[in-house]
Amino acid sequence: MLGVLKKPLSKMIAGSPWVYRMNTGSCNGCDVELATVALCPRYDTSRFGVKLSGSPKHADIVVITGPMTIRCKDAAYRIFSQIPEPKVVMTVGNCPISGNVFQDSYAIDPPISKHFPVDVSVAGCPPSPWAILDGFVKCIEIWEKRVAEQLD
Amino acid sequence: MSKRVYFLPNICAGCEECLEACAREHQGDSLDYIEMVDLYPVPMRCFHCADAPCAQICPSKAIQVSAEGAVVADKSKCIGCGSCLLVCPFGIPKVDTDKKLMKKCDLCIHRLKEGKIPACVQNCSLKALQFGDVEEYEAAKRKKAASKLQKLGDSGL
Amino acid sequence: MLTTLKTVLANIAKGPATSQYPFKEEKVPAGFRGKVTYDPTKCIGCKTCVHVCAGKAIKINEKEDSFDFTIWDGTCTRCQMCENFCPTGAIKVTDNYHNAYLAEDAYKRACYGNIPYIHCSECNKTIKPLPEVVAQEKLKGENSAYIERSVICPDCRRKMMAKDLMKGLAR
Repeated sequence: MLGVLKKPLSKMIAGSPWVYRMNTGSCNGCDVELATVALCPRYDTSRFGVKLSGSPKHADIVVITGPMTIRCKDAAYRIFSQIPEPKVVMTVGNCPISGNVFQDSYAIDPPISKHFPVDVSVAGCPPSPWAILDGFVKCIEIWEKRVAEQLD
Repeated sequence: MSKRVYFLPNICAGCEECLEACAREHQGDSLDYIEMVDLYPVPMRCFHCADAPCAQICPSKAIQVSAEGAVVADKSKCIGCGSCLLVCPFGIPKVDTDKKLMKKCDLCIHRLKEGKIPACVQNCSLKALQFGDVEEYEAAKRKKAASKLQKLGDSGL
Repeated sequence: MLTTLKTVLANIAKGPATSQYPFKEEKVPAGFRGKVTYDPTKCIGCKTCVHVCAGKAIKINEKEDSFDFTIWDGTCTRCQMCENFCPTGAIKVTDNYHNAYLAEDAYKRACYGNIPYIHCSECNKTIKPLPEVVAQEKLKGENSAYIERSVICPDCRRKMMAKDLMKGLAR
């Protein structure tokens, strides 16, 4: 019975992914772009059902900015472990990919893919709102697939 | 016409005094070469071309032709790319990849400004190197050839 | 009441304020800095771009027979210093803003070029080639003499010229 309902059910569940934002030491440039994308009506992501969630326990998509600073590593691990499966991890900006201009610093530990499994990464410093929208669309496609797998 | 450094053939003995004098003038690096052609040493340096291809191709416009006719490189603009070496028909510039600089004979322009002659010319003990105008050099050659012809004529051939 | 109605009608007539991005291509403003592209036919391998790159995204790797040029998109800050300082214009910044990648495409986000060295026709040593495009642009007049001689290494060129000089001089 569940087989027939699986597709419409997964579409309904995936219709409203809640996004939790983690800043692991970013300069806030990417966070500003994220705020523009998610909140401003010009690049509105709520057309795709995306809503910023207040708690990690309600998150579906995790957005990570910033290179992992040594200082916040413990907190980041603790919070990440509280995010339930299934989840999709997206990194925004160049810092999570390589540390960008801060590469040789003693205070950071890039890339984020060393610490958490990353699904989508949006490059740019900071990436333009259209690139972040692209990233969200890709995340939602992966999210639908993962929800369908969970319903099996 | 500007003055150049010329060498008189068959007088050079390959003693390399010119190289040492150049090194003393230029902080320990000689900017000239001595090439061996069969058994004859040929002293070579930048020819200071009037229409220098190195000056045309330099991407950072570091090589310029000065008022005295010498082709001089400005070290502060040189990026050490080596394009001048690739385009020089004589293969003269030396490129130091560590310091990212190019070195070549600058006609001892700091000595010319004081009215002295280049260091290599001054230190050649056999006078194989001369510093002068093209016209003077050609005139000297013509005189030498004319005196040879005169001697042949005198001996009744 | 009337002004409200007028404003509402005007707004409806103007259309939605949201940019239609994923469904319609968006026009970027002039001077927008996006991905960086590279033209290997103009590169002289001077490494100025490596020196000025802010994020150390450009890497030139000199191998035996060629040299590799890589720009990692995930480290490029799009500061445009490389385009500014490149002496021959081999690096250009485009306005391509499509930067979202899936995790498995991690190694596709690089701009790569390989410039092979030439071997000297006399002594077979490797020499970095002088790009023909650059020679045509910068050298005045007929350039075939320089292009021909560019396959001979500078040491052999000096020996050739020394021989020529001795040939013309009286013994």
